[in-house]
Amino acid sequence: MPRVTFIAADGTSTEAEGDIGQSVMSVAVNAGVEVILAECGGACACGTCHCYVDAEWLQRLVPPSGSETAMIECVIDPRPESRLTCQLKLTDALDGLVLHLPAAQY
Amino acid sequence: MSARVVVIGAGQAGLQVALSLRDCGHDGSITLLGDEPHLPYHRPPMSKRGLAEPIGPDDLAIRTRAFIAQRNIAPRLGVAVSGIDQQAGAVILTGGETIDYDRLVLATGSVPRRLLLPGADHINVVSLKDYADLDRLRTLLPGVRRAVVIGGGFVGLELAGSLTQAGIAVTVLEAAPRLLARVASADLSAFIAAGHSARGVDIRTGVIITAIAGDDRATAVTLASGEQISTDLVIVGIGADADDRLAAATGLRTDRGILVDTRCRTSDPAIYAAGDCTRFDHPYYGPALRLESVNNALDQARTVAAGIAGRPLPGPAIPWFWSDQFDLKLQLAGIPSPLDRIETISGEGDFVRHFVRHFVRDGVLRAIEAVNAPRAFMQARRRIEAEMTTLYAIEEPA
Repeated sequence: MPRVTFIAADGTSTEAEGDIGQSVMSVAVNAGVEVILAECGGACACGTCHCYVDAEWLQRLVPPSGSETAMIECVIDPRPESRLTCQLKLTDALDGLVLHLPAAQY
Repeated sequence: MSARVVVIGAGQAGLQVALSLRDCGHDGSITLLGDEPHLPYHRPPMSKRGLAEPIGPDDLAIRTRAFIAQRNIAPRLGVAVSGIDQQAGAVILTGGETIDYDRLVLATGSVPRRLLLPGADHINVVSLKDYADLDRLRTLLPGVRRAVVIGGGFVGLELAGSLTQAGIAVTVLEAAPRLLARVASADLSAFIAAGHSARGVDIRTGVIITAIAGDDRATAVTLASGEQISTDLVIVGIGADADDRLAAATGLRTDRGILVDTRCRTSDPAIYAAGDCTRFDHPYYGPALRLESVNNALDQARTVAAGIAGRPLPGPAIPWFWSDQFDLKLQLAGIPSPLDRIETISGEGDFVRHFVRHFVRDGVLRAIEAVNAPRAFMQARRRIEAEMTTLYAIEEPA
């Protein structure tokens, strides 16, 4: 099972495992990552599961869809490495993925 | 403050009240009562991904059991409330057990409207409100080639999309002259109707249904015109009413919803209410509003928590909604009014797959309807929030 590390804005980190095909948002929620709110339940509609992808991993992800890109432009403090975790699906190749969390989603 | 809080209803609103209370520093006990056996879960994905993916209550859970326990929130699931004793400050469960409260929160949600027609209780006539309904719908699906969806609202249209994508021939029957009549502009209704037709759904509006035909299983839907539409499955999505039954039985003020003030308090100051079960005056969008949305459930829940914890209340919120039908992503914010001027906004793609309307009054953007235009939606949502806040800050007497 691929492992993901979530690093909070205060530096504390949480490691969690997920199943192939599971969304990173769902892995975060199951691991109790508080700042991943996911208010729309993973429909790419609310922009409250935003994270920053570690530089080393950015190029290894499937690029965002047009609608994810549009939503990201409107989150708090968007950066080139911003993604919505509900749109990232776990694969074997993502084992070890490192994500940095924003301080808040609003 | 260490008041004992009891929340009746373990959906989006109920859980958010509990979580926000802890965020506000509330250190008294919090008991979350739910009538379903499941922890609070996301309902919207059920009518969207629910048919194509084998998602269960655990997949849909908003937060895990451990997360909820860690915040010292006590869920009591699969329990029904029989009454409220306001004098004693106690909730009475069926079976007689009582749970004392200092503050009570009603987050009882809504009840799907039932079709009052002959044949409406056939086993293959279903509505979709909770996980048990989804489970039942899935067991009915194998072998279904044709389905009739009664009601052209969000849930009905989402299911029409999901069923069509599963290879089923779908007919949508709507009593009103247009789809989404309660929530969308005529332009958006027309756009959505054309979108569904182009994707193979038979959309019929202004239709009166007289019966569901069949012996123990529905085999056809009979229209007032005499026409019979053969079907293997009937889905009823004709809206939902606020579940104010417990509040009304308690003697709280209700009017097709539990009436709450700007602090989300009912007519009993020790009892609050949040979410689909409420009706309230929105400072921007008018009196006696009832909203059925995740966003409203969360906003009202945060208001309840702030009120109980004695924290400053969040300001008025801009309502917003979303719906996924086929590849059509609807995003709506604000509540359009007939008094608004409608502006067609271009700039995001063509107008076959994309749709953007702004609703403007006195130079202020009050609402947006967007389909497959998330950028236009998010930008407008920000603008609505800023412009409405400014407008009402000026109008309010100092």
